[in-house]
Amino acid sequence: METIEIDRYSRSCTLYGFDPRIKLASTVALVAALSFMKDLRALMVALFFVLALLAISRLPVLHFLRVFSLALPFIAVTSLAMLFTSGPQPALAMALRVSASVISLLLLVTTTPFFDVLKALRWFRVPYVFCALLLFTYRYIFVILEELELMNKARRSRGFSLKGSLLSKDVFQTISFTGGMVLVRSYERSKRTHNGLLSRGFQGEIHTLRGLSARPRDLAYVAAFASVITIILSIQLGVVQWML
Amino acid sequence: MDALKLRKVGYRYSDGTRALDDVNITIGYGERVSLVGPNGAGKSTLLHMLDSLYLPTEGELEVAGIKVDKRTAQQATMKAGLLFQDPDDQIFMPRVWDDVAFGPINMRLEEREVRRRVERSMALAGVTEYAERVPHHLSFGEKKRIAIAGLLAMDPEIYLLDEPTANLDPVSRRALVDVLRSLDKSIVLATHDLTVAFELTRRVIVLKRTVLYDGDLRGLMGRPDILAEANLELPSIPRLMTEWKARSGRDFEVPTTMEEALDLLERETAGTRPVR
Repeated sequence: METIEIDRYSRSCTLYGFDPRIKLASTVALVAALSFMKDLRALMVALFFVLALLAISRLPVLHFLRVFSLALPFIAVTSLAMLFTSGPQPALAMALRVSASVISLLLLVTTTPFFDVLKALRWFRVPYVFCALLLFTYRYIFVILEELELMNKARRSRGFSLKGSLLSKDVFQTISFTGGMVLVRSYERSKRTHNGLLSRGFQGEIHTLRGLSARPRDLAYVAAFASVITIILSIQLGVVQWML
Repeated sequence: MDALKLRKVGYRYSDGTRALDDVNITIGYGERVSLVGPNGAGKSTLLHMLDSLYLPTEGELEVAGIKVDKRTAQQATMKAGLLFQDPDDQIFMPRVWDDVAFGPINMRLEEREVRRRVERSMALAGVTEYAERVPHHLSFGEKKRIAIAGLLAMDPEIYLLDEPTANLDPVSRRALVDVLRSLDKSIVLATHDLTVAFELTRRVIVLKRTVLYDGDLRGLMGRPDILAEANLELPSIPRLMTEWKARSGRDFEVPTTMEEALDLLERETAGTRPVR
């Protein structure tokens, strides 16, 4: 089964060496600022900034597009909803806002090894349970998807076809049973995985060797984000227009 | 002191199913033992118990001199290392290197020692090239070798291996057997594959909820009743040589491995003309 390994190029891209805490905090600040933006010029500046960062990162374009394509339906739905309820300008603003936010978040997770993102989250006191949940979801989602695909194949090999209506009793029952089986198997696997963790000395927290350390060059990262956030807030609040 | 000691051990699951009953086993340090039996015989349950993941509901269990109970289970777990049937159950980390290092880090070893152990065990298991890979992109055999590397990195006193060669291709199986053969630790090997049992161990325990047979593997060949009760079948080589012994009327000790069989054939056929 083909899967997208989101942080596949994280160690070979130019944004790899930056402290993940700095990257996380800067990205969250930018996304928070973007959520207040309505001014199209401010949104264009933000989008230009994240695209420039993407270019600097030297991530393979196809890889990024594959990851970004997962978010496209959501961007399309939110923008279209805005188009029909509030008109073209708010819809364009929504498209720009969501695109800039998604690209900045994807930049964070594609240029930072997944485990480093989790370590940064822990440093910011995000509860351990939440981080562990993310870790195991990332690790096991593909295993569970593979099991689901195997069950689908087994269904097809025994003559089941989705051609009929989804509301047909047999089709609905078969799909429900498959969903139920995935839940049961996931539960069974979670018990075995817990035993696997205990067997290797797990005592409640996952540790790694690589620690987090900020370096002077991280200041450049913060400064770039702080400047852009200041500029877009100034445009949104009319400070730039007032100065001109 | 024994590596593992079980006295009148029983285990009942919470739904009332009895998995083990009156199990008495003693395994010494450095001893290699095969654990065989039909499906549902309790082999996996017993291995989980020997790793102190399940506590006996009856009887006493000692692992490396530690009497296992709720209080000591964590300490006893670190003395033994369990290789699960499905490697996905014990590979948790998003990167192979981090996963192999998971155990040693939990053992609170120094960074240098962790790195040394990880590199050594990955080299031994032949997975050094996968260090930066993510586990879900690897094949079953590769994941199995990574799980073995994770176990080797912890350097336990007792290795508990649950069907280590199941679902492996012949080359991966051979590589795994060679790694296991190189270990000088206590090994308990649960398997249906008597060929592997013959290659790695001399002592066999036949389990079917309780111990049906505990003794020499060769002795088991002369116990068709036990083999039948445990749904076991001798591997091709001992079966062939037993048949040849019966038909030829020769008197020899039935070989169990390819090397032994070749030695015997050379001895028994010395001086005869090769068939053209």
